[in-house]
Amino acid sequence: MKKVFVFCIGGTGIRVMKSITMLMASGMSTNGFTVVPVILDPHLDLEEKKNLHSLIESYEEIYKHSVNSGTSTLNSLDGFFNSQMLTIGELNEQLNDTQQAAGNKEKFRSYINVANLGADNVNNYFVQTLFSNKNLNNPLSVGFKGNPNVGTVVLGEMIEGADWFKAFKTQCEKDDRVFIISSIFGGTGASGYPLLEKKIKGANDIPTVKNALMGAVTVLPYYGLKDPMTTGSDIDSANFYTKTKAALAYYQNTVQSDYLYYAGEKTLRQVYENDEKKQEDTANFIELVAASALFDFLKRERPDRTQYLTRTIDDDKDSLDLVSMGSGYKDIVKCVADYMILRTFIQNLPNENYFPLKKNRGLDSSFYNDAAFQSLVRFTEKYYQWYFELSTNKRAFAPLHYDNIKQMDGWVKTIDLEAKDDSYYLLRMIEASNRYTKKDHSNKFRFFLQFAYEAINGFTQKIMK
Amino acid sequence: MAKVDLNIVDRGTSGSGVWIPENDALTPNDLDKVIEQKTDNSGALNSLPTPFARFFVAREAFRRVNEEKLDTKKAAGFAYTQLVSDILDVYELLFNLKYHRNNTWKDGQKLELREWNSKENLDYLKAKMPVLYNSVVDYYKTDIIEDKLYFLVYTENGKEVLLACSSPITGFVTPPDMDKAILKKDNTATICFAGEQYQNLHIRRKSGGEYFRGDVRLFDKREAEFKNYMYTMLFGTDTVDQRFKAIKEYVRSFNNDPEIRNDFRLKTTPVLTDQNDGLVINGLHIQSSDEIDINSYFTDTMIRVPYRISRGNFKSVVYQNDVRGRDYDYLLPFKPEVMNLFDGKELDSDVHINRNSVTVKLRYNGIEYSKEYSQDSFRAGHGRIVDLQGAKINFDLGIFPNILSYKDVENNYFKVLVVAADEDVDAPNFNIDQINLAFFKQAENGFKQIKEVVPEDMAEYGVEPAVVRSRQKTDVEESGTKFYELFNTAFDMIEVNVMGNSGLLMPVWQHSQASNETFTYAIDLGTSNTFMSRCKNDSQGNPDLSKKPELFRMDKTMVNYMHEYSDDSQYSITRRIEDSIFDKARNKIKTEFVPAVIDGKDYKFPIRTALCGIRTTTNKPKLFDNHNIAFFYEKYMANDDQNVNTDIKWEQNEDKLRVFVRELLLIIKCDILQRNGDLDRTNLVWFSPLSFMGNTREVYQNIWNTEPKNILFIQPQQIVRYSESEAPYYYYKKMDYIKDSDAVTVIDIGGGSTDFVYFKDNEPQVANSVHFGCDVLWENGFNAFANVRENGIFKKYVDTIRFQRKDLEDLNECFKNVDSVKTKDIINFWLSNAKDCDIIKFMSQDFKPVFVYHLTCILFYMANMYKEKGLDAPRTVVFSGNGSKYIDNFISSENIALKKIIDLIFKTVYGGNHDVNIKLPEERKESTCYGGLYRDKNAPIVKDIVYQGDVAKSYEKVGDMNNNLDSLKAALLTKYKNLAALYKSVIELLKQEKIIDGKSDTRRYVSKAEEDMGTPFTTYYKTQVKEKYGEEVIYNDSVFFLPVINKVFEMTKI
Repeated sequence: MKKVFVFCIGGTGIRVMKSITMLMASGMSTNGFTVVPVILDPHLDLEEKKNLHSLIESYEEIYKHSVNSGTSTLNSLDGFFNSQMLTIGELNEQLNDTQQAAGNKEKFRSYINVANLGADNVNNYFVQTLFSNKNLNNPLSVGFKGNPNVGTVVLGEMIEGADWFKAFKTQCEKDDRVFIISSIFGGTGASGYPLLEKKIKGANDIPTVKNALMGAVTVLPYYGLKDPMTTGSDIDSANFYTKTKAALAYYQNTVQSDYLYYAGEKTLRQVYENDEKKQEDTANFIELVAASALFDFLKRERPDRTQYLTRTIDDDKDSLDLVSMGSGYKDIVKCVADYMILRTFIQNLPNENYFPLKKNRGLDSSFYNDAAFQSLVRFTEKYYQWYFELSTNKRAFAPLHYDNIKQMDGWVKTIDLEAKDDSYYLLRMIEASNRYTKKDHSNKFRFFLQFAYEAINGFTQKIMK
Repeated sequence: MAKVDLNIVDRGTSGSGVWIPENDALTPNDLDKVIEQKTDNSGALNSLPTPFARFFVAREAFRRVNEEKLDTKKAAGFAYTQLVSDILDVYELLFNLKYHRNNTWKDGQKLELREWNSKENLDYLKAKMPVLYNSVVDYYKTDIIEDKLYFLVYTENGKEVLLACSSPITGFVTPPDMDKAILKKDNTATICFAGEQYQNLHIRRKSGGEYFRGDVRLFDKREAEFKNYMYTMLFGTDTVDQRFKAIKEYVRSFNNDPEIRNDFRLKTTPVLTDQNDGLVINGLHIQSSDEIDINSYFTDTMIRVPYRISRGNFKSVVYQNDVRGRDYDYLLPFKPEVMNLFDGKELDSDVHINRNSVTVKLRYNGIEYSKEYSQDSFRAGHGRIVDLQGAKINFDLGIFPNILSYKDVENNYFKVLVVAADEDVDAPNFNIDQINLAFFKQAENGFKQIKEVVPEDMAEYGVEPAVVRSRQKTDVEESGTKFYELFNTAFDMIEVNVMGNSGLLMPVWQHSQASNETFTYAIDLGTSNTFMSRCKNDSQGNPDLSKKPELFRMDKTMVNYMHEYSDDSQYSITRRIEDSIFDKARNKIKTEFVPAVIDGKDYKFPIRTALCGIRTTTNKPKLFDNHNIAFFYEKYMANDDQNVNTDIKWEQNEDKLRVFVRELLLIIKCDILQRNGDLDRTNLVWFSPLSFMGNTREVYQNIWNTEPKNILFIQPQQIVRYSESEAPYYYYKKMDYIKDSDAVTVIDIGGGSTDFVYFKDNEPQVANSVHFGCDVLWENGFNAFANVRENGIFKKYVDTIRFQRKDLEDLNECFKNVDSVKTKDIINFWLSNAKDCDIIKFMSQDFKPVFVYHLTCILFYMANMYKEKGLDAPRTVVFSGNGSKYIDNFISSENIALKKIIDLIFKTVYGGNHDVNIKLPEERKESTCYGGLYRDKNAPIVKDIVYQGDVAKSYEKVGDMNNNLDSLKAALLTKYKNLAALYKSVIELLKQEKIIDGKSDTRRYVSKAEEDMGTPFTTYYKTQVKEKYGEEVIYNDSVFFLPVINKVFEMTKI
């Protein structure tokens, strides 16, 4: 089992991981890699973080349902949920993950033992030079409030002593890969990426870790926050670009990844509430782009030298469709389109009394009420919300029309699909079921996903042409 | 279609939305295209993924501020500009470190650079702060690299605050708590420090305002010297480490700044760490300006004096717009070091008078610096005018002498008087201790302070510790005085410090020129009066006998006072100088200092031989510090704590005598230099009476050998002593007063002594001196008590005498009321001011028989002496000495009367008829000095004789008389009897001549003269000779006069 350890650092890391999960759910290939997300964020109570954990759990649950034959584990499906995702805790057969090891309510001052210095010791001035009083008095539970200098210290310690990092070093095997997701303009992500990179590349005693092919996506500024003067926040998006420039200049000589992906905007197109504790920022196209970096990375071989990757959009529009994004985005559009079509199945099939698979494959009411399908339902609700956010954000990732089930041929903007409505898909689903004659399992849920994907893919393949 | 990279910059990525790999990361050039927003919130400067983020943020701040400079649309924002401003403040603070340490940090403020050794301290952190250590240990190696960091720690009121840490990237970084935030409340934006520990941080900036506070001050708004230091010295070379790129580019971007000068050179000194190492940060040698900081030369305060400073005497401020009627002036508001800027040339400074302030301008090196001073509320960077008038304080300075010899070595003595007063009604709150002077001289390497030294220091030159002569007491009429003495050095500048405020004055010296002119001075230090005369020498260095000696009079002042005086020729220069000084100082400069000028009018010779001194001092007499010649005597009264001693000639107090002589010699020195005389080729003549007893002559000899050497640089061979007695003869002879030189006697009647010299054929034969001058007429016999006032003449007039001039009337009252003033002093005062009272008329009327007795005694004694010494009766009798004026004044101004008296006396003593020539020259006192000048050095030395009234035995020593007292007394009693008879005859003669009113009752005087002389002789011989001197003492005086002195006293009481 090839693994890719995906380190998701800070709020941006969480949001990008969310997009990764969604893309994985909608069929984006990990090229055979099991994704092991490691979430690094000291926020104890951050909703986004909880939601991601929940999302990943859902994904895992759905995935497990899809590969469970009852007696053995089946191969991963093609299409939806085709890749395995495992938490580091699960991988190491331990329950605690980063969340428990990370933030607590201790003040940074106490965390680094400032009180251990004698009153007249010159190192007090050393500390005063590095950190403000406010830095020192901040509890770690609220993150680093955009202070990577603090984050570097805390995360460094978190990483060095954490069970998950030890587990990572233990579990990282030959051909496993590492992918780090962080933003460059915040606190946690900006500090975590170079730190983690340093830790991994510094693991001289563990060649599999040290030599693991490493990719990273550095998310550049893409959103703004309301004026901190009016909100009292310590984070000022006005200097996101400045900090990014400073950080990139700093990275210039320190990057050790094999692939470094850049994802960002030249202007801050969306302005969110400036609330560090909530960070209820809606899903953004750039996060999706950043998420796509992982899948690109998993397809690449070890380069001779560090590669810096950027992708474009063909037309600088506020609302993007396939044409304006460019052909390079077909896979993403197709995945999203596939899942949004799947969503119609999930919404409608439970109410379809005459659907043949009800009898043939047992997709009856008990199936729809079963935990597996219900997981999928819940996941799909999140997916819809995710896409809704993407499609309504600035800039909008909106390659689909998905509101009229009777005019599904126009669901993918700029492309006419042959399926005029859902009956086209359901028929293809029946056909797929009929084609599948193997008796290797009786997993209804797997049947549902498998046949649905074949049905959808049959029409949406056009997107890829 | 507009294809764009999903990046912060467009790199022209190919493909149609797929990930395109490139070999290069985003480069700084790429990043330059990023449009940034301004950043106002320092709290948002939350930096980079390294514990040393602050160091990189600082770099970024410089880059952003520079970017804004290049394109104003790219505003950096407050957060970055304040950070740049603060870091520049650190550089500037260190650049001005010397200035601050020397000028503004006087209350214990200090700045230290504490070294932080990475190895040592990382080990410490490892033990104490392992979490931090784990984080920083690796980053330090890549981010900082330097072995050491330095912390700038500022201490004020015992509290330390961190100002900055050294940085290999920007030189310094300030701590994040020093960042400022703009707080908006009620539409008002206020700036406050992030950290509470900085809320009370107030470090005054050299150029005004405060460091780290107030408005952001970017590079271009800073002082020229600092900018040039940064531009040229610190970041002007190619060797600056690449890591300093951002700050270097920022600083060097000011190449068009008008104050940046390529030819600018700065004298700097390394800033030292607490390990005494030069502060070097990543190869950057941090310097402190060692250059003269022009602004630092301005004083914080400017002293305004309530009078105009004499520009002829002192250089002070120059006014650009002087106003008519200005009745004040300013001391130069600079620190002494300012003169080093001008390399001995004129200070290029002036003052512009504004409505409520003055602006002082100083031009140096082509740049004009200015500072405004006002009396009102103190504003940052402005100075304060200390208005002494407003403070009801006044002071003045006097420098003596005010002339410099062209030979430096001769500029070996200067005395500076400080006179100061608190003019407030509740005085004195201010006293003389609160005004201090420091002296500076120009040396090869600039102006140097002349250090204060004490004698034990054995210094080659210096300033002696100031001596307070008098203090202002509660009496509002008084002032305090203080003296500074500079020895073996002149000076070029004075720093005046009044109650902690200082200003400069430059004395304007007179200068002597080299010439071949030489002079001879003669000094007749008499008991009552002292006279001094001057004679220009011929080419051989001898007095030019072709010209009459000159009265000692000066054309120029010898004291430079601060205050300006009028040029109104209606008044003497002395009056103008003395009247122009502030009221409370006037009497002090008259009574405790040397006159500003011996103008021949207000101050002239002869002067009373009187020394003014502190009444209660136990210190050794020292000129001006506690004693000075009482030129004012009989004109003004000194303050109560000063006493005037009129007996110095005979008192045998060498120190007082020395002070007296020293002041005379200093005046002579001044006179010589004013006349461009060659000081060390000066000749001196001094005189001594024959009647000096004991070692008195030795004392005088010693003084006259040493003092002229110290002051005039002359050798003993240039100093001659003549007998007081013989000198007048040479003058009178020269003046052709002596027609018949066959047998001539000169009778020199002084205050204390009377001297006789007998000449035969122009050659002195014998000389004699007796301690019997005219003062015995005004004294109280041998009364042992100094303050006894039983003299009849005194008592007769003391309550009735009146003066037309009020000041004399007041002075008389003072004399009367001051216990220590003797009767002779008071009567001499009356006589000195006889034209303002009727004393001569009264005394002539009331006491003529007494004066006649006095004269008869002298002549009788002389005639007997000459006769018994085998000399013929003199054919010519010449009188000299001030004391002899009583003859003219109180006996008769007609020579014929005197001639008849003398003829009668000679007839009585010698027998036969006599027809003497009488000469009472006008120049009575002057004759001694003049004669001394005219006397041929090769003339034979006169033989001194002693005459006790009996030549039967030799009475050389006291013991001789003790052993033969009976026979001596017997001989004298005979003489006294004859004297009494003679006196009666003289009285009769004068009645006949109608010199004495025929109706007047003279019998009491005759009777008194006839009274027993034996008892008084015995009494006074015992007290005045036998008990006073040892047997071996050579007795040069004459015991003849012992009872006579008492008789005169008794007669005054008739």
